[in-house]
Amino acid sequence: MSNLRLAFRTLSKSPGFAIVAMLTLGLGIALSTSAFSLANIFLLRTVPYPNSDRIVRLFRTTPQTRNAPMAPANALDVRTASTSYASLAFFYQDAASLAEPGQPAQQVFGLTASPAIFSVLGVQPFLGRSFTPKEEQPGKSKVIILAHRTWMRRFGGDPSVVNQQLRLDGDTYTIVGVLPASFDAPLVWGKVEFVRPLTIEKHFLTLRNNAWFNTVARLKEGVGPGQAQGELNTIASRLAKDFPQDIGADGLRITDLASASMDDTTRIILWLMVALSGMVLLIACANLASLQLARAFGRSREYALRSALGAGRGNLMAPLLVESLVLALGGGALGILLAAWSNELIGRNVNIGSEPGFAIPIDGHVLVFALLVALISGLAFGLAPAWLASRTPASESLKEGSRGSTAGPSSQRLKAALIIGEIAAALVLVGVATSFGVAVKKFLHRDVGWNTEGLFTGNIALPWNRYTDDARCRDFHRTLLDRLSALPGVDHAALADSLPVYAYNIRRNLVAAGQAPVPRGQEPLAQTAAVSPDYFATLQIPLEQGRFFAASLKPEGPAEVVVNAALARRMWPGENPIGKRLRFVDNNQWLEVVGVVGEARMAVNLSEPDTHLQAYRPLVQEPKHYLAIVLRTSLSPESLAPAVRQIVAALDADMPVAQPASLRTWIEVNLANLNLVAANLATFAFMGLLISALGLYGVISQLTMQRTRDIGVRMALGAQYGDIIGLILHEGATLLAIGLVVGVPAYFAANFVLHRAMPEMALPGWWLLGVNLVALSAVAFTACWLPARRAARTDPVVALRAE
Amino acid sequence: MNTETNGQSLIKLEGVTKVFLTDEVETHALSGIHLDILKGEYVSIAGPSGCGKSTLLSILGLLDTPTDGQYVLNSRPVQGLSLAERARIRNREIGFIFQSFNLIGDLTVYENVDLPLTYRGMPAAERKQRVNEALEKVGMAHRAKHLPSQLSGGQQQRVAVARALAGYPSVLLADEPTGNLDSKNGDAVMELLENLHKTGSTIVMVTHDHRFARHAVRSVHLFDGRVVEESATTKEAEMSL
Repeated sequence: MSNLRLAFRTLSKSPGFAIVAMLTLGLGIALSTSAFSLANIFLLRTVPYPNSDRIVRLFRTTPQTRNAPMAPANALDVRTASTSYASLAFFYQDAASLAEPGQPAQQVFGLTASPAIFSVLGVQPFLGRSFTPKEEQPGKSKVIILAHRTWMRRFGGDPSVVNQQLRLDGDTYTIVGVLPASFDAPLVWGKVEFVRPLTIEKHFLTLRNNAWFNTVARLKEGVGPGQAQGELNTIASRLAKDFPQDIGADGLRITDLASASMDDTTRIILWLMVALSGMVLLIACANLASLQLARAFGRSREYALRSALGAGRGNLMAPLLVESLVLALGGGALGILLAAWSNELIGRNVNIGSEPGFAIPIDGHVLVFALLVALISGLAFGLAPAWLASRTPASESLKEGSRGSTAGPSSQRLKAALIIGEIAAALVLVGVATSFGVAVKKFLHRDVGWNTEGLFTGNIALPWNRYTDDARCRDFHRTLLDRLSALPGVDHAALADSLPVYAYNIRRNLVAAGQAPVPRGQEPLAQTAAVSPDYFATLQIPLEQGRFFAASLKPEGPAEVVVNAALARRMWPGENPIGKRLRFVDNNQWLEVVGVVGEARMAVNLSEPDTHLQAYRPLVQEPKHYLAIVLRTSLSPESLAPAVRQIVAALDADMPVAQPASLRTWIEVNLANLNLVAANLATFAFMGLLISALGLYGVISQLTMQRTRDIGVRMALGAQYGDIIGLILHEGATLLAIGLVVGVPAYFAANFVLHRAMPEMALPGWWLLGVNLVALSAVAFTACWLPARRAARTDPVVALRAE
Repeated sequence: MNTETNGQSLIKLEGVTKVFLTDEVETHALSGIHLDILKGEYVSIAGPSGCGKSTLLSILGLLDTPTDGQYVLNSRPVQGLSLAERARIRNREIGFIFQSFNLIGDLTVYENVDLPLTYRGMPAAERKQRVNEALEKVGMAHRAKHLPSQLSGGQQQRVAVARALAGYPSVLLADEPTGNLDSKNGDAVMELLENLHKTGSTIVMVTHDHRFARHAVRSVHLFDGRVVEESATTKEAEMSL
């Protein structure tokens, strides 16, 4: 207790030091805590459900991908045959048109899921009831459960909402329940507004080559993932044996829900952010250790006196250590406050499912983390100075004019090592931040093979209950396209079931006519899209050979396909692909290649695509319900939104246009998180650089002060201004050079991790290392220049008198 | 014994004063000092503590500038020179010997002696020859690779003398050169200075110890910032008899 009192008393005598120390540490802890909050919410506590470690996802694996959904019949067989799960449910993400009386139709997002979904997740509606197994049957599924946010937003939290009617996709649904807010897990499902029952249609029981069933399950008590995986392997082998044509080389795998909800790129970036924020904290600790060393040096006589009075090593170390811990806890408290503010700022700008806003709380885990970090920091920067101070020989320090041992070689070596570490860490921080920043800029402005500017886009969903056959869909598509094309300012209009923004939604294996058969499942995989004739002209995807789809192409006309150059090269190397035939393995129809286009690269996807092959089918021959409208215009794209809404509403009053926007804006919204990461890394780099520069300044200033007499002697011997400047800069340059040599391998290692995380981003090369080295050297030079200039202005008479 | 001067003035102070201002209080450290030192002379400056000895030595060594008066060194007025020019003259014309040796702890004996020559931009071969010669002269050549901390006080002071000698200065300024030494080492250093004087060096030594002041040819007594007495030393007087 007396040490604590002493610590407060000592610190109150040096308020400047205490404030600087707590601020430095507070900033370091704030960055670490904030980065950990992100990791906590995005990586460690993604799934907010009870016993979430028992909730698993089941995936189909193919030679090209490990995360594919299952075909309905296969998924149902898995459900029947498996014994490892307490419950198992299927689901897919869904969009529906919500039309409330007197209001324009709106597109809302939700889940279509098996009734068992709630028992799998361990969450039940807090109002009304869950789905019954009967509601999985066709014709019994016009019931809906609202998400808490929908209930609050659309019904004002009215408890009598149960049994009220809701008009969805032109059908009337009965609200049977309201989910608690704890169901919301945007990182798992996106922002869900409703849950509808997934109906098992009769033909699903035999549908094995068209996969869209996502599967989630809760493991039984006592069953581990390994055991469940073993059972899945058995089921997969049996399915492959029973249905070799449909299953081929496909397998099944199990993984926990949290891992399945986060892609590797995001995971690596988040851990990298935690690591880099930790580096800033280490730099801060190294600086504080230097400051504490200096303070210990200043108090060496006090330590010598204590030693002479019989204090043991523990007694000598304790005051300085307790002082460091007091500073660390103060810095920790400040850090938590700053982290809370920073989290709010980040949360406001994070986009989940293209919607900004996400709560990043400082929960118990984060608080424990911050406390531990503060304590470890206190030990980290307090232990070495306390140890060195405790080694002060009483006989030395009590001598008049003695410098004390804390300014001796051990202390100097430690300070040099700390500053070398700081410089190396600063190089890594600056290196990663600039690499990331430059790569993001290049990524944003790279050639994606199509023109992202001057495009309007919006999404529509044709309700299945009213657009029940292909003919109705085609009629709607044709009329819509005619009207959109006639809009003033629209140069080209197109519809497509997906756009090359994040991914073409459907991947299909394909075979070429006349080529040796490939084992089932090992056929080349292509991203596919169904598009209207003017799609390529609208996106300005260049034609390399042949032609686009003709506007006059009939549904029953020759089955056509346009492929990209990569697919043509892969399937028919060195041959003219025009007129060649291919077939998707899930369909027996042969398609004739009529055109070859360039690759349309995904505008916002940082991951390496599982395939670069692309195949386009004419929408008229593969009509779709979920479509993107895309218009090329010379006007401001956003200005087309009202006219497009009007056209769609005129065709179908219940059909909303979701997310109408400029495509460029849409891309930028999707890349907002990337910019946020870049801003975070830039903050880390700035803080790291600033604290390192202050550290270097402090160490060089201290070295200079300790050498005042030497400098005076040198000046007496005729050293010029430049000689003294050179001497001090040489000290700094030596530390800088060693720090950079140590830092360069770490710089490359960090860049390697970045490249692994984002293979689609071209990381800058050696030139950026050169720029970083020069920039860091310039900052270090400035940090050394000030004490050097002060030293060179030393009055030799005063310096020699300081003796 | 060559204790003769050649009659040429090396240092000439005329009406030199030094006033320090501290908190608006004027302190007259030196008041109207007139002093002439000839080439080859061995002069001691004596006086009680606070009389201005060290201030006078700082002005003589161009470490400080007079507030008023004129200082001519080697026929050149030096009181109005720039910092850089003063540093250059210090390096070439003046050799310092301090009471506390003031060797640089991180440098070896050799490097300490070499240091002023490096500031002169002298070629390495010539520097080497001069350093070895200076160390030989003070009997410290065998300790060239040692650090100052590995030497006794007397040895450190001899290295300091070697450092002062290596640049062939016009004058050696010694500030209480025996102050930190025991009597045996003090005597040895005084003997060394005396030998240097005999070989033609001009030496100005500040000391408050009459025993050592006697080694000089002429003694200048300061009191309260003024020269109150100039005299030939007893030893010199004895020798001239």
